[in-house]
Amino acid sequence: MKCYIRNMSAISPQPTFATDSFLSSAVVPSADEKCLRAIEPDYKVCIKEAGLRRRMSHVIKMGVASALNCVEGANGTLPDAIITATGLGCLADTEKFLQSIIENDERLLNPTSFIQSTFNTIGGQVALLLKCPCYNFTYVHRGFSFESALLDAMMQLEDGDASNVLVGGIDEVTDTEFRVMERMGFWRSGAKMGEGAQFFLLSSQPTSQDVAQITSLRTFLASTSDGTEVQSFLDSCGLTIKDIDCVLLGESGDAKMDATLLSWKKSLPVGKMQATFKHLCGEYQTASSFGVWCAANLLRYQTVPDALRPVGKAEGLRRILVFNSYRNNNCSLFLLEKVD
Amino acid sequence: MGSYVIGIGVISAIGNNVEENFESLVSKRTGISALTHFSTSHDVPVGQINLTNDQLKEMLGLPSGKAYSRTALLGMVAVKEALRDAGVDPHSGLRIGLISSTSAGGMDLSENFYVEMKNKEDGGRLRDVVSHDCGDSTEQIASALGIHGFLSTISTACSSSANALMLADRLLNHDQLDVVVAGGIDPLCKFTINGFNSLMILDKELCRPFDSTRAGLNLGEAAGFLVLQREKPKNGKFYCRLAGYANANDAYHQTATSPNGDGPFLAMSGALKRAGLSPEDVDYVNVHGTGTGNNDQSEGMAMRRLFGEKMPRFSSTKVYTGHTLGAAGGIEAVYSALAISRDVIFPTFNFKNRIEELAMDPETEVIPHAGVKVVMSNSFGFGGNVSSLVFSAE
Amino acid sequence: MEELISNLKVQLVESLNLEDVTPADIDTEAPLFGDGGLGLDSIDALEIIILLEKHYGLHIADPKEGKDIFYSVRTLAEYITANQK
Repeated sequence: MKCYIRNMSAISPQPTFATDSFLSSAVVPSADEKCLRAIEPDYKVCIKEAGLRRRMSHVIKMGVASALNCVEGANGTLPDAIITATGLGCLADTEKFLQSIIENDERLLNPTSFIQSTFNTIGGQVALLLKCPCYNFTYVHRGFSFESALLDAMMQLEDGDASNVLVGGIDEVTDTEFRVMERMGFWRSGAKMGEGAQFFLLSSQPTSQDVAQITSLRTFLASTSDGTEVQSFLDSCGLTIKDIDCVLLGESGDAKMDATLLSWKKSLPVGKMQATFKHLCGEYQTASSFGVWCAANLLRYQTVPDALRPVGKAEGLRRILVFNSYRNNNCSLFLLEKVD
Repeated sequence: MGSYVIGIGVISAIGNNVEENFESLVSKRTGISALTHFSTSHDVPVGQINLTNDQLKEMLGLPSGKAYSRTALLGMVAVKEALRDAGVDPHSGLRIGLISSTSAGGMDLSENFYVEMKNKEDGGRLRDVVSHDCGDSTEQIASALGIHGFLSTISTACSSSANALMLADRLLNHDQLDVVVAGGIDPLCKFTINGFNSLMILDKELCRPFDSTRAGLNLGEAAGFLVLQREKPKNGKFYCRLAGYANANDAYHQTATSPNGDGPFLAMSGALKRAGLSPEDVDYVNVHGTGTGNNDQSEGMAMRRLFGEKMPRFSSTKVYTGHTLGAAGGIEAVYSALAISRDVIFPTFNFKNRIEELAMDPETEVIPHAGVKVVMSNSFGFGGNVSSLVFSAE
Repeated sequence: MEELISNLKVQLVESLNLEDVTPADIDTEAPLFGDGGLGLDSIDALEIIILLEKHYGLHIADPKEGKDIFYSVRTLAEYITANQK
């Protein structure tokens, strides 16, 4: 089961949107910055249909703009499946509607924020704008959301039910969410909250312009981990850690939240090249999609930008293992390979 | 092709388990009544499960002090029943996965949290908000019942749990798992009642699907799950097969479905194609049939286009349960499995007035020995999401 | 009437988030819904019902009733004038 990344697009706290550079002008946030907001493009340019755009909240605009850009950049190859992933969906609209229920005592509530609060809003709007009446799914399982979407896409491509699948991970920061999570003890021990929208156009067949290929992925819960998951994942790919040129880690910066990941990291051979990405995008449920975006770019550009904090050396970059962990609960592994 | 349904579990306004649901269905006994679990300023009937969260916890043998969303509790009841029915032991070494779905997630608790937090910056109990996201209930269920394989959660509004079943079949086909429990859950909460009220599509009476006088839907709460496996069970015990399915997007409007039912037509015809069946093979359609003007018009048009003059028997079971949103596809899949295994069609017992333009009437009486071998189950939702499942006896 | 019409235009732009449209751009006689006018849809109809109730105390129970009333800014204003106590 493998697929080719024909094109990808990222709106993140870094200058990643509609650019040919790979994190060369990234700004590593300072230790005091607890909340990383996305750098947003001019949505009037990215989403031309004013009739639909006027209702879109921040997260919908991020998702839709990233999705449209991803498809446009693939010479307009239309997807035959659209699969989105989000941990909390259209959170600001959800909060807005809740707020109005409370403030107006359940009377005279504007329907728009309710309509837009549903988790599949972004997937639906992308379908509407691309006029794609195809398969349309939305996965909403914490740190397994993007992983589920990608697995679904790879299965569809292998089955021949789809030839080109648009897959994206999207989540937004809201002030309320930041405060609630702060009360729960987050953002105090090194982790930063983040947001973003990463989309990938995946194909079953290679073309001459592919960015990279995704060859395997696996998910597991930290609570049931026996520490052998990476080994068995590599076994199933017919590889050993020696075959991996660089390990890209989704460390949040909070040692407690990264416990499973950090404990595995200790077992890495001395000198094995490692890099991290979450200090650039922040922690959120679908942050692994930013990790995959980085891994694919490492393979495309064959260079590791300083912003990813590389340690160790690699001969070349042919295979990258991404290990992501979300709140020491959802762990995921992705294997990406260079296209020939 | 198509995986086997080897176990079913359901809790809804018409019963706390499969047998109670079946009894209500064949007795034309609706579960729609006044809302009593929480207060709201809207005077609308609902399909409420008459058990409090504490009673559900007791039923499940869970500690009363721990906070669980109603979503997680309802899901545990149905998943537990489905696993037991299938005779699947989570500790048997099989690779068992859980694919759940919900539209509200843990909103039943978090909406209270927001009220208190709005009053006071540090107000609200954090334990009421930790279960807010949709993945929480799935993980709670998996942990309570010892399911350690792949977990995922889908949320595509009212088509959510039909989609969970599609993913389940795909995972089995790809040998990612040996057994999958798939379905969906939604609890009643203020958020959805107010949401649907703001859309002005809540009927103040019992909903009237496919009736020309229909005036909207009734909301309900439920959980419905099915246990699926790839191989035909050696003991021959199974309900039916998930023979085909299709998901499409109407891509017409954010909330409304296209008047000609373009998306629904794609989903229904696609599901039959995948099953290798033709429209004439369908013995019964469990329609989405919410009772809103738009849905029934669009679904009916799509059925006319698909079935032409040979309209199969059909009914909406939402007159029993209400529209249970993310759970609808799950409980209606359970009812479809029962329709096949017990060879019976459940009626839309209150139907009276034909929609002339469609000229199609749902069944109004229970039909035993109906010769049900192939059932189609439809679930459509916001965002253009449309899903059809096809179940077959063999 | 003219004052009501200009108020309505401001309220429509605000409550329907009509980006790139100023109250002055709205033609009093042009259809609000469908092609050739503002291109509003069924969600906007629900928002206009809320607007009428909030600002003018007028209650429309069935969105279908709104079809003729919501034809243009002119018809909306006429309805308000005729029904407001």
